[in-house]
Amino acid sequence: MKFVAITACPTGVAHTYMAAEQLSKTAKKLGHEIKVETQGAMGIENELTDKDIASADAAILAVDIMIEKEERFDTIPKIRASVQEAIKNPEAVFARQAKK
Amino acid sequence: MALEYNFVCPLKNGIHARPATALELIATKYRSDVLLQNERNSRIANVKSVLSMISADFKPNDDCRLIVRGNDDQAAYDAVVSYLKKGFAESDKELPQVEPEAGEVLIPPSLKLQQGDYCTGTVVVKGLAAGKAVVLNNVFTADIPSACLGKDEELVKFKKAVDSLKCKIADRMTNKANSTERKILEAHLSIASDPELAEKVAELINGGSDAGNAILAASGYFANLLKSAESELIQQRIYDIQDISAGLIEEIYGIVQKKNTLAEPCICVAQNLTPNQFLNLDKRFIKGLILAHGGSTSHTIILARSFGIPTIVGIERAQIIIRNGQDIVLDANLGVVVLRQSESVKRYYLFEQKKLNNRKERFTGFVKAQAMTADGRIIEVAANIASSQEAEIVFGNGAQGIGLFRTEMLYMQNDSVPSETEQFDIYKKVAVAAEQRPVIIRTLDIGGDKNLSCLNLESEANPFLGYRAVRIYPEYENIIADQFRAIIRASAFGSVKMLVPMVCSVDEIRWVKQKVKDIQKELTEHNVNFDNKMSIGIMIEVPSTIFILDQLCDESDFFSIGTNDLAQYIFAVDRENKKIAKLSDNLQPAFLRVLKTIVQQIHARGKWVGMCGEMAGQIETLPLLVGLGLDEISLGSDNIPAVKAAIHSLSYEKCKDIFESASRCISADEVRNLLAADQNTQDFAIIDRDLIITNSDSLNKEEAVKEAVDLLFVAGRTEKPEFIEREVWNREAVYSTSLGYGFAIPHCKSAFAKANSICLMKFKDGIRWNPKEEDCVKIVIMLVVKQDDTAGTHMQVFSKLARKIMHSDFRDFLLMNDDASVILKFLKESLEIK
Repeated sequence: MKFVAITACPTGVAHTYMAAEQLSKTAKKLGHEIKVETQGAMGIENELTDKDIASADAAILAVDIMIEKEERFDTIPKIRASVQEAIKNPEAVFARQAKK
Repeated sequence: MALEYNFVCPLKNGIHARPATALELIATKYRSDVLLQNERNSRIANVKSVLSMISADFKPNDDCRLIVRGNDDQAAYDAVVSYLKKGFAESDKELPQVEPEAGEVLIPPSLKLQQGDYCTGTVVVKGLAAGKAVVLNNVFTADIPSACLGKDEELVKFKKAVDSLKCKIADRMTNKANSTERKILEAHLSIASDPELAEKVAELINGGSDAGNAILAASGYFANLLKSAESELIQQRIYDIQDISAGLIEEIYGIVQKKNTLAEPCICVAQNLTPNQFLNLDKRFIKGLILAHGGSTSHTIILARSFGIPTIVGIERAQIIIRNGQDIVLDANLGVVVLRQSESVKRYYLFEQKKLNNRKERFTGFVKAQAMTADGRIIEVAANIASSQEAEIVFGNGAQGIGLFRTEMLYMQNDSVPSETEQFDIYKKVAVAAEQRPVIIRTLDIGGDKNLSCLNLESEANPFLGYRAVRIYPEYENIIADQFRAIIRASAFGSVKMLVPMVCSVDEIRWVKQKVKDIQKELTEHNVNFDNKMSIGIMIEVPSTIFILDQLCDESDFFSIGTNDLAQYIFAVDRENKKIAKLSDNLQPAFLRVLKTIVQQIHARGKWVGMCGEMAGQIETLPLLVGLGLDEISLGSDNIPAVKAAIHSLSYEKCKDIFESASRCISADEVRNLLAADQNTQDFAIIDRDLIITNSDSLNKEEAVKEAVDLLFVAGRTEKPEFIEREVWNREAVYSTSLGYGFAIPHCKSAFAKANSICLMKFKDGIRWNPKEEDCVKIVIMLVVKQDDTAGTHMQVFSKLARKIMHSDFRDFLLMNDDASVILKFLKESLEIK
């Protein structure tokens, strides 16, 4: 499967990036493709384009705070998770049913 | 036939001073006997005596019987019963917390203190001390002159003392708008007028005792009665009684000037200490000082500061709460006196002491150094002293001169005028100790709030605007001439300069110079040596001087800015007035502009200007002082190595810009934010050897976090580790930063961090990060980001680190290596840090 994802934690210093790393690692392990955008203290990095989103099967929103440009995901099934879950239990996150 | 009324005591704390006072106020209006019987213990109390009621130990729900007997018994009965039915039950409303005037005392999570194990006060001289408390000026161990003048005389003495003390208390009551304080003073008043107390004292006097000893014995008698009462509030009354006794004894005998002698290192505790008493103590044995009273600029405290003795003031009844011989900790960083230490508190202070020692060591390299900015500008760093004993200490701390020798202490010590010879010996001693370094001696600055009764100065309505310093010189010509002569003679032995305080016009400095010329002529005729090129300078504190600097530069060789008084006059604020003290803020843009114009004008005429007020000693404001272009700053010598180190990391050009921006700010707070944001980080790498510990002794999360922020403090990356500690905990509260795998990454953004930093700590035994978690944490990596630094390359290092931690090979390397240098190298490589 092809995924896009966003990670965003409260301070934006550490967990945002740890979750991103974890999701990337786990996707690879499970045989999926993934592109992860981080919204942290440095702002938005590796921003997901409309093309990225259009070609994905689902979006993982591993966020603890309000994110920017959430409208982009209106048309795609979403899996919501907390940043902690993405770090501690990434496989369960991938196994979740994506919802519109 | 007695009138009786039965009721149950409705008060949840029993009948203590406040409710007893209310009852007494009613009962004393009547001539009948008004008694209250405690059915539980059968004691009968006289309702006209607060002490009597307290001693009867009425507890909540005790059965009580009111008994009224006498001519006006019905009226008395009705009044008391009516109050008992309505109002008595409410007489014990919780006293609202009296606003601690100390400002908020922040107790970090790593310091686990229980209520009752500590008290808080205001820090006036920073530092940490632990040891035995010695209570000074203890009226209860003083030798009261026991010349007994006969029963009648002694009784009269006692009665007069009571009346006088009552007037004083009544006076204090009218000045207090605060209802809580009024109530307390009311209770004091009723104890002072208590018939039981008077009866006991009279009994003892009739038995042959003198008034003083009778008062002490009566106080002891009641104290014993009350000790057995089980209510803590009632036991507090013992303090009240001791206060009143001490007050009465003072009324009769004056302030007990007991000579305090110290035999070994200790922490001194007193209600108050005169400068004289302080100077007579062997300084080697004073590890710390606790005073119940004392404003931050009182002279005793100025002395404590110049000797570097950690001091806390404002602990009510410190001398009674803290027992003689008690082991205590004086934490004059937080503003806390610890009376009882649990194991974890002991460990906290072990860590604290280690931290302070490490920090001090870090700066020893700077003791002998020049104070030079990174771009080569030099500023002289000198010390303020008030006695010759401090001279050696300050040069040992790296002082490059004496920027201010406050001479009034020599006069206030014994409240007498020291002779020319005595002064000459002292000034010479300092000049010699200084070797070639400059010694600026300020001539007598007495009057106003610094009074000397031997001069018989009249008391004034506005002492700060009063007859003091240079203004009194013409009238006291002989005394001043003695001092001038002593200073001029001392100039033969070193680089001595004279500094004149409170000058407001050219006439005054001309008077001084003429006097100096006359004395120099006299000395030449007697073949006495002196430096005929001795400089004479003036303090800039009276605002008028700012507008005639052109004329003053023609008369004065140099200038020293006295920021304490200058700020008071500029903002029209009495700094002892707590309501408005905040207005007189040195960082107000108005004040910065004043400083700028002073320095500019003086430099434009080629003269030297230094600063000797408290502002000179604050590390956070150094960029402003450097940017201002001062030639010298003079401060308490303890801080000198740290100040030199701080100057070393500043850039003069940048400081000039900072100063300009600061003068355009709108408020002191804006200036503070500006200073915080502009902290220079050019000297700090994101991670360094001194931020890595591989054998931490921390036993739990609180200790670990404290240890990590303390590393930043020791490294000079923050002046306020406790604030960073708080912010780390705030972040932890959102959700825990433990990752599993034996790692935790506490982090925060903080305005108090001077540089983005990574600290790494490995624990000898793992610690439990959360009570519920099984995993123990073996490695803590703490990330601290400067408040507004979100775009720098350092942030990328943090995100790289965060990603790396998710990989087991990265983690395993850190877990397996205990060599800090190896870890440092590994981190730098993995995170691509140069």
